[in-house]
Formats: sequence, C-alpha cells, structure tokens
Amino acid sequence: MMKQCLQAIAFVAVVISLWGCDRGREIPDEVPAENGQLSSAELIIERNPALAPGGELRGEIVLTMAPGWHTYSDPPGDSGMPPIINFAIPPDWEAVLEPLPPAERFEDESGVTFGYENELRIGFHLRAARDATPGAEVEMTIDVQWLICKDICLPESTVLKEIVTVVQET
Amino acid sequence: MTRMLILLGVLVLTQVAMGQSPKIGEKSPDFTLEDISGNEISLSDYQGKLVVLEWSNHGCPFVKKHYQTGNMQKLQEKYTEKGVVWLTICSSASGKQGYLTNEEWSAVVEEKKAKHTAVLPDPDGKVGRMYGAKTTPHMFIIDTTGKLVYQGAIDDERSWDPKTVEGARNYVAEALEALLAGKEVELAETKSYGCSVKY
Repeated sequence: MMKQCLQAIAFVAVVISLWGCDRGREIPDEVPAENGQLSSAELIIERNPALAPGGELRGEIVLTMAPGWHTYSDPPGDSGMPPIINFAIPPDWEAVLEPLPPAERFEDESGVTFGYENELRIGFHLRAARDATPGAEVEMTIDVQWLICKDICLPESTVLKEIVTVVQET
Repeated sequence: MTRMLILLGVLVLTQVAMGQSPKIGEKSPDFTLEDISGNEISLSDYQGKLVVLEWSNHGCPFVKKHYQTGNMQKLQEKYTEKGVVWLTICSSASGKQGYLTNEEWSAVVEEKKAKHTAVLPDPDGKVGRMYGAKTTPHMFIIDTTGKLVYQGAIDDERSWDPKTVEGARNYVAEALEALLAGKEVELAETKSYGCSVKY
C-alpha cells in the first residue's frame, strides 16, 4: 500500500516535472523521438482497484496537451495518427476501449484532419477472468503511443501501470 | 457543338481550380525541379523507366522511423540497382519543418546514407500540390508509360514507432516487384500516413 502510494506520488512528480520544463521551450527542428514532453498521459481509475472474478471496472486514459497542440481521432483524416493503446493483462482478462469522443475538425493546406485539443479522455473497461483467484494481485500495463501536432508533429509514448486485486464475490 | 466545348472548358477549369491530383491509371503530370546539386530534373527525363516519388521531411517522426531503421535506404538501394528512378521530394516551405538548404540536404543525405536518384526541394509546393501529396512520407509510382500506378502509404503500419517496420506489409516494394515482373499492381491505392506536408 505504502509502496503504491509512493509510486503514485513519484509518477505525478515526474509528470509535473516534465510538464514544467516544457513551458516556453523552443522546439528545435529536429526533435528526437524519445523527447515526449509537451503532453502527458495519466491513468484515471478507482483507488486500490479490486475486482471479483468476472467483474468489470471502468477506467480512463487521459492525454493532456499543451495549448495549441492536438492529437488525433480514428480515423485521423489526411494525416496524423490516432492513439495506439496496448494492454498487457493476464490471459482470460479482457480490456475493451470505448469509442473515441466526437472530434474537432482541423484544416490546413495539406488537408483535413480530426482530433482533440487540450485533452482527450479514452474510456476503457477491464474485465477480470471468471476463474481469477481471490487474493491475487494482477498487474495491468498499458502501453500508450500518440502523436501531437502543432506546426510540427511529435511522437509521444508512455507505459501506465496499475495493480488490481482480485477479491471474493460478494 | 459549341455547348459541348463550353462544358468541356468548364470541366477542365473546375479540375484546375480544385487542384485535382492525378488518378491511378492517368498520365502523371510532368514537372521540373532543381536538385540539391543545382541540376534541372524533369519527370519526362525518365520516360521509359519506373519512377518512385517519395515525399519527405526529415523532422517528421514517420519519416524518421523509415530512415532511422534504414528501411527507406534499403528500398532505395534495392530498386535503384534494378533501374528504378527514385526521386525524394520535399515540399516544406522555407521556415517550416523539413525545409533544408542544399548544403543541409547534402549533409542529411550523407548522414542517412540515402540511396535515391535525386533530392528535389519544392519549397513553393508546386509539385506537392500537383500530385496532391498530403503526408510525409507519401509515395507515388509511375510506370514506364508515364501512368500513375500506385499512390499512398509506404506500408501498412500507420505508426511512428520504429519497431513497427519489421514485419510490415510494404506496398511500395510489392508494387515495384509486380511492375518489374511485368505484372499489374494489385493494390494501386492506399491511404498515406504521416505528418502533414508543411506547405
């Protein structure tokens, strides 16, 4: 419990520090792929998530972008890339993404695209296996890749983690 | 007859006004651009050859994916050795991402060990708009008779992640293999993916 709290605090601190050091940063022409700093991804899920065998809970992956930057819908239009989300969960557990919310339309000389400014909330449902063992602690890992664009485009990625405890059916 | 001619004229004018890009099976419009060594290069110089047009911007993560992994250079090398002409075109306007001076381009070509036939900067976007280039990369293939026979994505992995290059279905390689074997291109049109062209 203590460890989880410390992990959560450390994660928030990293997000805040990355965010803070971006502001006012001049974007060089060549931005390295690993330089994901103008947006962040956060996992919103109930505190100490717990599921009974076969049970389901809802979570959100929230992408937050610096002013003026946007990410993309699916399909994205003439250019861009929708978020790519991969869950790593035990076999027989299931994660299902909700459809993306309605998108804004962006137009420039090279075409029309659809996406989101400021924030994109991606809902998902996590379902525990029917034969999950009560008492087990299951790690859910979510690999998130997304693209943000303004005058230029930057690749962003992160790995979000959460421990879900399997509890007795009530 | 006069009405027919007027109608035809209106149709042509509408197409020009809408900036319609060439369709698959249609003749590819000719263009002339100066390469990074100062030579004038026209598409019509390569009549009778297979020509690949590759839209590029080395600041774009999707272009980086194909150059950092050596994927683009491998394709360039493999097919230019088989007589294919490979023209890398950059339609980034001056001051926008991807715009490079000729000297900067030469350095990039050397650093990336690119194996194209020529790099053609197109800073006023004339050729990009002529072909309807929307993304970087955006690939076009012109056959030996001058017809457009492929346009779209380089492959089916619509991501900037370099890990997705291996195992991707490469549409350009497929089309070129078919054409070199005297066959028709099976998948002649796909949706290109990447950054927008920085006109």
